[in-house]
Amino acid sequence: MTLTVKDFDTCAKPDWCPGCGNFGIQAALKQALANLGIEPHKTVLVAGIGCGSKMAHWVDVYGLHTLHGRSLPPATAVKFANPELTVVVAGGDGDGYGIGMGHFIHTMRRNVDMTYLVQNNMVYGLTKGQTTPTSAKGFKTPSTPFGSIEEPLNPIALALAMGATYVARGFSGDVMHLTKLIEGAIKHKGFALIDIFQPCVTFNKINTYAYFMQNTYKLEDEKGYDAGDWEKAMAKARQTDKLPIGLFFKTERPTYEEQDPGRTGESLVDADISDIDVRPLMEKFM
Amino acid sequence: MQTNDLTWMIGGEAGFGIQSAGHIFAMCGIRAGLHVFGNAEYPSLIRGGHNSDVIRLSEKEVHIHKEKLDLLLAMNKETLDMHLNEIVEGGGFIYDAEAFKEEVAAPKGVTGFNVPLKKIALESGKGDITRNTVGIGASLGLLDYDMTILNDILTHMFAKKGEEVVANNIAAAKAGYDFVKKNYGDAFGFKLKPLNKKIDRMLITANDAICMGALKAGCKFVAEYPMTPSSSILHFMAAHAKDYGVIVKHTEDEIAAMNMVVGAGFTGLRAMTGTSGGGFSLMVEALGMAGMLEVPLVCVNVQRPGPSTGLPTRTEQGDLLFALHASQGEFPRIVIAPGSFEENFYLAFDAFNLAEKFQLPVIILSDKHMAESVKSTEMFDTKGMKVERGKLLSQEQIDELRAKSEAALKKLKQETPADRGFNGASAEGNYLSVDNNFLRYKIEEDGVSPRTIPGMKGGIYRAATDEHDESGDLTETEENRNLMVEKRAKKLEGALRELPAPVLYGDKDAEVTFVAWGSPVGALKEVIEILAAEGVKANLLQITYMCPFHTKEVGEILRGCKRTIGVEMNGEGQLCSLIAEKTGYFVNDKILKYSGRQFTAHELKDRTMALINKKS
Repeated sequence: MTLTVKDFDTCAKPDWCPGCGNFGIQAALKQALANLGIEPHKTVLVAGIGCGSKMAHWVDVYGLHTLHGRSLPPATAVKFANPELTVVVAGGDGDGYGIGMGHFIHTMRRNVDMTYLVQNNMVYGLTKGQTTPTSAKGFKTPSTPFGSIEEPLNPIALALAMGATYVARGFSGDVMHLTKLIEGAIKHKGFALIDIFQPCVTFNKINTYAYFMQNTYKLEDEKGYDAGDWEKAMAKARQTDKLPIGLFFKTERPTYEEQDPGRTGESLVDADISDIDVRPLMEKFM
Repeated sequence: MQTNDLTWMIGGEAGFGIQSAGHIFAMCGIRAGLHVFGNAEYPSLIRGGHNSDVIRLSEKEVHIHKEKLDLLLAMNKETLDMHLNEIVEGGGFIYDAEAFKEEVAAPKGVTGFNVPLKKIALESGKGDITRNTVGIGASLGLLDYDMTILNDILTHMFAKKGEEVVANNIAAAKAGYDFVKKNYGDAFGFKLKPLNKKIDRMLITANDAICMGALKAGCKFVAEYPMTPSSSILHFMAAHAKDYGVIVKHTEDEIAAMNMVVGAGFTGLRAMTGTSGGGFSLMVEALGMAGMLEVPLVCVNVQRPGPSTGLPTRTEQGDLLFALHASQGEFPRIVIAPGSFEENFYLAFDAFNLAEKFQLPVIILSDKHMAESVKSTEMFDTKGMKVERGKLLSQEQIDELRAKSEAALKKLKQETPADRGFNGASAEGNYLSVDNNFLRYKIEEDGVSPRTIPGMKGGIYRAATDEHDESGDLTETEENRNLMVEKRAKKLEGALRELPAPVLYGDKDAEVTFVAWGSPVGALKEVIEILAAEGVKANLLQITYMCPFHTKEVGEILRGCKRTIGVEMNGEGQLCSLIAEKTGYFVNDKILKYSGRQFTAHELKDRTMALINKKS
């Protein structure tokens, strides 16, 4: 089906700060959905809570705007219930790598077929500027006025270790590049993580557009980089002098939902439940 | 001679087949056409510690175990130390002097039957593992039961483990049976005689009943984290997932479980989770999400004693007020407390209908005593059970509503600033948003809006945990907030009209009215009979629906009673508090218990008589 970005526009407009990195992510997601020709009613955009999670209201598909840190379990259930749906999840680094970390790890090892976009601005925006798990050591915020003492979390390395089957990093300042990564993630059958550098223009004065432009490079520009090589991907994930963006790693592995013993057909949503016979079940107890 | 009225107990170390022996003995009752009730008491550990299983058999329906034993099968010395004084006069106990390495003196009027259980197991059963089967054989020998029925049960039970295991168990049972016949003859005063008529009864736990009700209702999604005493719900559903086409997910924690159930409900599946108080505590934020998103789901809280880890394997009814208020803010929920094994089946089925008709979470409050006890239960009558999905729309219905709404939408678009959605209710008859999406939270007379699910064309909407307008988009206006709070609250008015009001059980004109909920209800039905025999007329008001609450009916009934006694397995009398809050009526007396062990009928009778005698 031929679709354009307009098919995913909403009347309501985002209330993000002018210049917020989320605008680029929203544009890339709409463009990717249009390019892939997925009809709006066949996609569910699940989100946590945070500035970026409000995106669920500003892309014209089915939306499920959940709780802080809890986007992945409901998204998993959406996919389990109806695998014909395209499931995209959006949330910030605090949402996914902080409060929601437990679900993040388990969803990856299950290899549920979904695309997880993490708007990683290394700061809490909606609660006004506290440190997050990805903030740099020494980052001064209202909750860490003398500087953060903890080492930052490495989401790419973690995803590789936990068996994610599509691991990428994007930059909201490069919408074309990010669009391609999202398209690849949605087409990929399995769990896809795209960690997205997303400048918070209000609360993060360190990880700015200029910072990311100066400190990132594209993996596809590096001659001979092979996204099928897990060891190389892990080495790239640990690089800190320069920050690679692009597809780190991709592999094929059966998804959880296609192996679920309870699955009888394509979608349980269509199952006839009007008159289920439990007599054979009762007889087992006699 | 006492025939077909027996309380039998097996006791021993955990890990030695105490509960499976209990199950076999209970099945002997089922196959004899008798009523059965079995209560298992065990500590929270895997091996060792004291385990016991009490099976009561009777020609009359039984709801509860008795505190006195007729026959005790002691698999170790500790069992005798703990339970010897619980045996009635004329009763007996089976023990193994050789294995215990000491003789045991029987209390006055009680007979000890020394049976070399271990020796027989090694010789005839080809291994110590059959010691419990030898004990069953010996028990049935004393009771003069028909061994062909036992052989049939053993064959059925051990079939999966192979012919050799079946043969060993049959041989072990026979050797135990023959030993007591030879050495003790017909000395024991209790007998079991199979009834001639065949009766189709199941031996089930209340957790089994809930699962059967859920499957009958078309539950297609279960997410749960193991927690005693709810885990058998997870196990049951997982075991039958393939046959019934159900996705059963053992999640990383209860937070994920409840969040998944919300996701499944949003996508259109009938979904359920089961847990106990600690897990329920972790679920409450997502419970509120279901309230806000108006997603149907069923949550079973099988209560155990708290607070915190409490007594993990014992029983209590301490979560009533918690379940009623769990999660921040106000949102409608239905809280149901089944009071019998049968009700666990029928009300679990109803729970799914109610959840979808009123688009809200339904909590079923059960407790360990029901959830892990076994009871002989008539096959459930599923005739006339109808799956009702409320205002869940089909694709055709969406198309129709959209066609009808077009004119109204056109008008609306001219009137409403398109960039902000709505700031209040849209025009009557319009089901479309300015985005041309579906008004999933349309304000309707009954508070229940037509519902679409992902994948349906023309049904797009956004479900949000923030306050939202009719389209699901966020707004913080006062006008909208008021409308939405009122809309959600209204659903309970409709639910209350649909739920049957409680009625008095027993003689209308009674001296004493018991007020109870959940598993004590069964025991109270026996108490009423026992009191009648002593010349005290008693009846019972069972409260099944905790929210919404039948304020008018409950108030009227209680105000018409002579003396009311609240009976609850908790320390605060939570139902009594709820009744006082709702009706302004204060129950006269309370009989409460919080030791973790269920009331028995005689205990309740004694405490009732003490109250009567004290006051009069």
